[in-house]
Amino acid sequence: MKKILRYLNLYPDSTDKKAWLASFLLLNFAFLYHTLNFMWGNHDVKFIKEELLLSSGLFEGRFTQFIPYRLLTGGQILPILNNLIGFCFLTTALWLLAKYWNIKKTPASYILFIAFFTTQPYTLSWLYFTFITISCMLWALLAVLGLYLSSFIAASKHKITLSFCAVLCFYLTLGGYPPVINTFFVCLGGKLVFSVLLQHHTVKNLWHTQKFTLLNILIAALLFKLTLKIVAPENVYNLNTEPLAALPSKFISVIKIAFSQFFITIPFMESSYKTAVTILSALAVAGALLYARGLRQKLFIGFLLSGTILAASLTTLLVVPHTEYVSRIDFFGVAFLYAFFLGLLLTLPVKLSYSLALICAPVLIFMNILNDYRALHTWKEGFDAEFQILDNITERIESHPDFSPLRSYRFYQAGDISLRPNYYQKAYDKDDVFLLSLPYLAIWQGANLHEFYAPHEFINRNLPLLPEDITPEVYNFFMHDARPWPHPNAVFINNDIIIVVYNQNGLNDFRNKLRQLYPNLH
Amino acid sequence: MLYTRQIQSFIKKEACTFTFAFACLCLAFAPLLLNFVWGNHDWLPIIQDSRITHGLIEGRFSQYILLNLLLNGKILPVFNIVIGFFLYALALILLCRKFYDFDAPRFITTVILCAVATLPFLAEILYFHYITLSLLSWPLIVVAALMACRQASLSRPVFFTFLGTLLLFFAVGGYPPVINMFAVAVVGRMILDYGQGSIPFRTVCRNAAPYLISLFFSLLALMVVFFYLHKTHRMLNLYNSQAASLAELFTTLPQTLHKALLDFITPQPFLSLKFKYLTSAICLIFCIIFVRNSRSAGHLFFRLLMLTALLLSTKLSAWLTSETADSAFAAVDPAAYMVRISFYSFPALLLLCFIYLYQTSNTLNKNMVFLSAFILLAANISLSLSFSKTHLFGFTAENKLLERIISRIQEHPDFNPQNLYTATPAGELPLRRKYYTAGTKEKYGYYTLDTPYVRHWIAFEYFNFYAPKNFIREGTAIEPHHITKSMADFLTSRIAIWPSENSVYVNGNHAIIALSPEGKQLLTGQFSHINPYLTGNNP
Repeated sequence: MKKILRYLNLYPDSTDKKAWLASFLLLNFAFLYHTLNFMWGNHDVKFIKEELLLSSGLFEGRFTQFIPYRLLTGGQILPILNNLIGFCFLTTALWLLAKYWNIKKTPASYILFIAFFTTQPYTLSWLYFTFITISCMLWALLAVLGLYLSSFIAASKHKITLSFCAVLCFYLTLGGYPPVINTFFVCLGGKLVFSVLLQHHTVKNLWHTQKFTLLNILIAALLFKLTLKIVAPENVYNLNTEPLAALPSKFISVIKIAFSQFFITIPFMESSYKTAVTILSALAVAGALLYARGLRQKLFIGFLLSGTILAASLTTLLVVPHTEYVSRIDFFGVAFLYAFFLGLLLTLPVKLSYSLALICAPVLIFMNILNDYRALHTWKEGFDAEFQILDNITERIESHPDFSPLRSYRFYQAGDISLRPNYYQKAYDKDDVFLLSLPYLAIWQGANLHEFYAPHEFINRNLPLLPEDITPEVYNFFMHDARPWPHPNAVFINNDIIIVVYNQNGLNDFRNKLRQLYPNLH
Repeated sequence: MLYTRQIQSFIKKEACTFTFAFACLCLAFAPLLLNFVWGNHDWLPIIQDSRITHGLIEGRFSQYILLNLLLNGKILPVFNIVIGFFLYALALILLCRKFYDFDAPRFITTVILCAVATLPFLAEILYFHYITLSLLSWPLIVVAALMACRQASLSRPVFFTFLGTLLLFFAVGGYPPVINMFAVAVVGRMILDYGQGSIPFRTVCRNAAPYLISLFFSLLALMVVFFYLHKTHRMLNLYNSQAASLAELFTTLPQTLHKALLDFITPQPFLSLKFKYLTSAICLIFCIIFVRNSRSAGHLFFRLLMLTALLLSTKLSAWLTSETADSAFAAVDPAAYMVRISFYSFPALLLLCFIYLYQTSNTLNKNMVFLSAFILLAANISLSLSFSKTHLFGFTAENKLLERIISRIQEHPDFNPQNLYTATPAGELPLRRKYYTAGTKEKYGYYTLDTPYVRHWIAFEYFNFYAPKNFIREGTAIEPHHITKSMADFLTSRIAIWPSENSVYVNGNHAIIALSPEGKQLLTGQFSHINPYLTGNNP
């Protein structure tokens, strides 16, 4: 093992160890409140109680998503350890990236570089769902490892072994979360810029050293598509890709999105924060262009920088659903882009650049941590408030004269309640569901949620509402008398069904369904 | 001065290993350190201090001495467990370095100790806060007794044997099954001595004399104390407090050995089949190598004899006690499979296996020992955190239910906040198992999974816990002369199980809550024979 690490130049020296440990501790401090308070909900409810299976992600084509959980925790989502393992992977990923980009090797540079990336509020997006925290942070590590191994191939005797390992890394990550493709190309773009600027590589040199990276990504992508054909996932939204013919026209709008990312604010990343990271990015771009020799290299660097910025929106270009300004997608793109700019400032062999990085990075890390804590405070209040409502509804169901724990009811939840936004008052341009507006009490998890803390199992999981459940009495109740929570008519129970109305939108949707399905009862 | 220098050198040498073992323990049970989750006997001790004499009812006269000395009898969140972990980690490092004389690179020792310290047998010890500290401190006392006895074979035999006996007596007075740890470690020491091949069996046995004398006299003293406590009616006749007769010892020996073997492959909650196979494989390889190293038939015989003694040591307490008392309880939580008893044998046993395998192996096998210790450590942390999560969710769910029951009682039209009530919960609703996916063939797990946080016979403890003013009195019995016509009507015809409207009955003096069908059946069954008189339809 030691030999392999030494061969790959990955055997950690004291600087590496110190930097890793300090960054890991900083990252843990940034999200300490989350680690100590086990917050879960939405997709997690069933998995928290039971366990994750290897096949749990197949329906949406994420065939490798739960391999890390099965291997590391036996499929369990474990409090504290979930974050610790995830953070361990993330810190290692950034340490590896520092080596891949050849960031100036001092403890300060490494710590600032790693901590700046890991403490960004984008990391929060992977803490909202506890059932994929470990996997998605591991994908970042495997993506960078794949790139790192690929960069070694040109100069190595073990081309096939290294290629195989790199393809495996890319394939596993694509099978777990395809938008990781943004990371591949942002990091590769960054590597090209560093190579041209600092090692003065020509285009020919670049092709010679990096062609294997492109080839490995291509092989992994083909294997990924082939596996999807075999797995045949359900027709879910996040697997819809744009047809080739539509790409040129979409490209223009994606350019706009890629550059507007520097200004568009989302929850916990407000204008002051965005301005600060944009200044950092502008300084890095200016530094790179000024440092480049001659007009031709300046133009080439400008081209590579533009390409790297565009790579952060690659998923938005390739898929049909809107993925722009979504924090969990940006974690694999924009966050790496910002890290690249900081890396540039830290590594350019100009004193002013390094000094600027040493000033900017601690300020930004402080702002990151501040934003993280504001977010976690908001999350905790929202989590408690939503679960308090769940408790009250459970009490209402139990106290209902027609409720018997011995029966098996068909259950329907009309609407949901998202309370995190109640504890956040700042303005932002685009909402981010994972950071703020998605509820813990998800509408489609109603059955699991209402039985979670209840002493009895009273919900029939096999059957939704049946046509015969909608009797004239039920129909009239929901058309005229039902009201959203906490009105007494928010909970309806008879011998067969339980219906809980959380909000007016949910009630309106339910009424529309009833009108469409039972026009005769109208 | 000599000892001071030795202690200083020991601290300097072992601080790192100790810190890692302690940190791993804290990590493995972090959710229980950070959230104050208590067991069903803890409601009252959490509010009131535990007096030194509180353990006498079970004959555990030394149970609260350390708690009183260190924490003034209080159960304190975090502190209670952290002190326990500190003492336990210290015990293991002393056992490893000073009793088993294990000498290996620090990194190897650290991984092995971390793997042994975090074994999930510890889980059950953390269920009851009121005894956590004492149960975690006994290993240190036992190791001190072992070291004293070992010193007896080198110098001042009478003094050190007496000291060892006193220390062991103190430990068994708090929890008698700690003798398993003592016995496993003694046989382990004999195996390590004999395994070297240079010490004859007779010398090994002679060296063991101080240990056996200490064990015998400490158990004898315990029997005297039990006799006195029984005679003065201070002790109840509970399970595990009756010694087996000599005849019983002979007849139950094969059965005990069989159970000891079975325990290696019997999965229990949070001790999954994979975990059992891993630990069994380590023990099996140890046995094979130990036996394989014998040079003659005599050697082989003595080695097999020692392995049998080692096996018996893991269940020594179960072998020496009679399970006739409280046998209903013993059926759901048999002494031979109690996880909290295994806590006193398996860590010492696995530590011995790792040490023997490491000392007698070549480089490749040493790497295998290291790898298996590392895998065991990872499995331990995962299983322990899984226990912590289940414990946390079960506790939360039962407390939420308790809140709803209290609000139902207090919202009842006949409830008067000025009155003091006798609460009679009919049945219990343990909810921890809801949050656990059982593996194949798992058995038992009474305290790790099945026992509820709210037991029916201590209703006054939990109903009054968060109440602004006590509204429930001690005791749950309904006296016949307290039965009114409306109560009789409720008990004989209206009663339904929670959460039905008719699951709660309140009058000026009594609050009855029917929680489960079994509880309801048991309660109504008591009144069925007087039913006609109660309802006024007496013939």
